[in-house]
Amino acid sequence: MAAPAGSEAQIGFRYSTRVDTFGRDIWAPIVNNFFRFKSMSGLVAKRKLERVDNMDPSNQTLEGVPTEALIAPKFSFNPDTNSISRLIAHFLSKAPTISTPSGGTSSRQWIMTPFEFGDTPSATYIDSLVMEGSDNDGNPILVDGVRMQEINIKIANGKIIDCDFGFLACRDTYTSDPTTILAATYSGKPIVMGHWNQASIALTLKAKITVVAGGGFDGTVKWTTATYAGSTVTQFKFDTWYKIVLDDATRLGVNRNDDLWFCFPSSGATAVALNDEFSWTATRTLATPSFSTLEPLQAAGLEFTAGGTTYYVHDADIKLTRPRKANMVAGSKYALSVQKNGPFAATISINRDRDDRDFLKKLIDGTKFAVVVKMYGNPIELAIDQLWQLDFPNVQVADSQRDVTTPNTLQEKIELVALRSGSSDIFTNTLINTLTAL
Amino acid sequence: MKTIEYLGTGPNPIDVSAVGIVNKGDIVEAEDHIADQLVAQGLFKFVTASKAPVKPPQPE
Repeated sequence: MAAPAGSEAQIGFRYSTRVDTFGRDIWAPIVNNFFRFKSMSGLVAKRKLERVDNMDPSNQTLEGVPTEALIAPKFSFNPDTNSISRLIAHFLSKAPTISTPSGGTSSRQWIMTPFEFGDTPSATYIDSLVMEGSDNDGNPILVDGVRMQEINIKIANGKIIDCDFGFLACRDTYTSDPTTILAATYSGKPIVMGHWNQASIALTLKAKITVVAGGGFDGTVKWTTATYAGSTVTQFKFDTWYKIVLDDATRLGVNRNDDLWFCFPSSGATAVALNDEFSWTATRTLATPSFSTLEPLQAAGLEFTAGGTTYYVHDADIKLTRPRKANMVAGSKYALSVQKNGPFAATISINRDRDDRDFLKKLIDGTKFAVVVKMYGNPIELAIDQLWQLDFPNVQVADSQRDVTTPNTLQEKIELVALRSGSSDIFTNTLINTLTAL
Repeated sequence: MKTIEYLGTGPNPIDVSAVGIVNKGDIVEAEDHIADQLVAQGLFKFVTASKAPVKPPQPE
């Protein structure tokens, strides 16, 4: 097999709003949101090997035991508003307020603020993502329980805007989406996550319902890679994960700690019927991608205002963060879920000529002022331009470096920190795109 | 080949790798397995071939 090229890589995501017992979204198969990117990393789990502590007379490094697998995807790309809008909605845990700009037909305006305790949760919002990535090595990977923790935006004069999105995730698999062989009424898609042992890679995994709902369970399933000959079955409840044990009581996964898991998601009021059957293969079929047609945002379209006054900057770095941590537990190599690990925060760092003492005065006074960052693109239609606008109603100057280090025009590096004050959100995202719904 | 119509649930217009740039309401033809995927993704729906004029595939 010839090594693939980076240009053959592809990433897409999908989301749903039902949760499993660990607060992790249960996804329906098929990814349907795609974006083009400059680089992607971290979709393959970082696996830790712990060395045995016991003393050994050989005086040589001992075997490592795989103990943990952490998945931390990161993407960098030149953003356009269609590609990022849903990712930002996920970051903020809220549905957007969508309206049509005056005079527009295909363009839409999305306004989003961070979700806070006390808000009524939106009827539909993106809690976690399922991502499918492929570098065209023939084995696309599916990663679930993905939650974003940071957005870095780099604006530099003369350049197309750069954006980094950082995530943490739970489990991964190369397993295909299920093929429904028979489903009388059940409209859900049972999911398989985890890694197959090498000896079984070419087999087809099948599951058949042997007992319908009853006794507190939503069904009983028998698993096989050949014919349903053995007697081992698994009782299951919807939206709960169980290990896959084949009908002859053997394991299809790698080992006890890196096994295959399944989940039958609840699907409306539908129930599984006797002899409903599904199958999976060890390799996914890559999803057909579709992309936004908007061109990426660029620095020439930047408008930066502070306290109502426009300032011209050479470059700006904006960091929006929502710290997360992977919930690693004894009993699993993989994170159980991705948890909150801090509040929403935002910092803006700008480099400009030392045109005035405005920011120095604000640093000395410690006053709060509003900052608005507008990144414009070309018109979507008529006079409606593509736009990503960040409003920070309350910002303080954290630092204003006014060092003299050059005989040429003096520069100033300003660090700004955004805050929540009163009932004003720390930031508001406004996007002009062509997406009609979340 | 199957005939499918773009529902507009993604960006509008949308650039589908195997099909080209499609606007909401456009009817296009695609290979069977690709059409199946696009419908399953919730982006397109199947339509009968004879209905309306089909948008020709975009040149490379």
